[in-house]
Amino acid sequence: MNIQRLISFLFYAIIGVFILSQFVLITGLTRAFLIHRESNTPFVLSDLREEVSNYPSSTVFGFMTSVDDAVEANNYYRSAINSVIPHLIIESNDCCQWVIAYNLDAIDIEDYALVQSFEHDFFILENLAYAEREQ
Amino acid sequence: MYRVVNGIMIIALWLGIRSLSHFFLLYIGMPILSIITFDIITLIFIIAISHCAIFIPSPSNDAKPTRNLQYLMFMTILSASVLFIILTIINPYGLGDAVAIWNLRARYLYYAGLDWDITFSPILEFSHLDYPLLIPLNVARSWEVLGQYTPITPAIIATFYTVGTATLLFYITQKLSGRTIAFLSLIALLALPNYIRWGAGQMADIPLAFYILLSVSLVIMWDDTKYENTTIFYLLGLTLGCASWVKNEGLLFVLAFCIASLLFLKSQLTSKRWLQIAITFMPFLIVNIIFKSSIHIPNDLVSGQGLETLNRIADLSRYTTIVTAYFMKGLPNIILLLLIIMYAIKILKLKIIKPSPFLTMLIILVLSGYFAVFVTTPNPLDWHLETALERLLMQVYPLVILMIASMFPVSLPKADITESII
Repeated sequence: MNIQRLISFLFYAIIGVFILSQFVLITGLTRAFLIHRESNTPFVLSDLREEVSNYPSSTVFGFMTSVDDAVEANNYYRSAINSVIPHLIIESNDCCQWVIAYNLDAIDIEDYALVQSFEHDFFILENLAYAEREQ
Repeated sequence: MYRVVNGIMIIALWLGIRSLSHFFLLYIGMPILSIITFDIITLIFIIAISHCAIFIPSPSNDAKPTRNLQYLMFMTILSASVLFIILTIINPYGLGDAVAIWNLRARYLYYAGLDWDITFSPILEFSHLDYPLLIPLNVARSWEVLGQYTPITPAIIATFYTVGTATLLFYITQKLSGRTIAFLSLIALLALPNYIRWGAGQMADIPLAFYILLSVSLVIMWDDTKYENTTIFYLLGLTLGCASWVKNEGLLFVLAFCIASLLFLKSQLTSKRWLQIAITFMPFLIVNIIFKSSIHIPNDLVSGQGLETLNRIADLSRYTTIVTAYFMKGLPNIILLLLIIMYAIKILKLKIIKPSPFLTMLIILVLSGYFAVFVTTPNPLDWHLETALERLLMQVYPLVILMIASMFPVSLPKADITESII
């Protein structure tokens, strides 16, 4: 009987610890995420418009955004992209939001696909850049 | 419940055939419209082949789980669900390999369009170009259908496989061992934060775990129908094909499955049955061969072999390191499984039988295969173990839970402990 009680106790206690660890993880992740978001200033669209005007007319902008612990991965990609397309201009802030500028005349389809494959909201700002040029 | 499981199987097989057809049509240069038509045809095909419902209602005459166990399962599902949602929100583009391989490949395939072959440009060598394409092609295909890129798509696919694996495990363990053991099995899976982490992280290991579990579940269902439902063999060929088209480890699983079947299901699996399996598996194998031969960058684990391999095999310290890592990484899983066994024997007073030799051999073969990969890996061993082992163990973890659950068959009466394995 005692062994049964002990096993029952162990069962609920250990499963409880597993569940508790999930809730601790949830709390920790949420807290870190919120602090991270509040403590960093993302790029704003008006800044980007100004930025676009500083580059040659044939330059197109891409915009990358990512959050949290993708920082390490993003830095990895940043060096990977620059190693294969050195003429790309890549800037990022603490929020892992990236601005990419490149010259349309100097980029081929392979590079173009590579850049696109890395971005998340690319077309919005590409169109914006085109619009700026037209003006 | 069984309807849900049938539905999950249909969707999972459709995703497999869809990606296969998509790759094939890209390879032969067919336009997008034909691909959409092919999508519809494959869906109809899958629904047709699944018409005779494979998963049938389970008898529910076994005892209800205790109130405490019901609360425990409720809490486990709640914490796992919240953790899954939070992780998905925080990492909408996935974790590690999902960012570096699966979603990167999907974006490349989507943006490159008919110039899809640049997806396998040598400049992306770091991204393991030889990895199979079930997940990336489905993600890219969904973006094409939607007409836009959205990170929601891979998240939905990841959710499908994570929930699908848990649902299938619950169903099949309930069928074999009753509701209480099904509750315990689900707790053993969902209480593990890493399962949720890899699932929400959009890693391909969870889809592979799903196809592995589905393959074995089909064998169990075949056994359940007294070896009459031959449709199962065509579906089995498909699930094995899907497993080999999700990750390279899937090919290892297929090999292990064949060996274990030849050893322990020899009388049931006649040459006619093997032929039925081969008919639906072959397209996956052919496309896999075409794909791998068209990639000019070889697999890092294969290309790194040579005379040095012999030195690595002869190095006994590598074995010690790997065994230690197996134990340490698998410790949470082992604890949960031992708890279930103890609870079933001592508290529920269930009679325990020997594990299925087929399942045991299958698991041993797969784990041995991983072991051999680690022994011969040209990469730094510690790094390789640290980055891969946890995920590899997760691929077979649902299968191990199923094996444990099958040791408490529902048809046997409750009795005092007559034998114990712990």
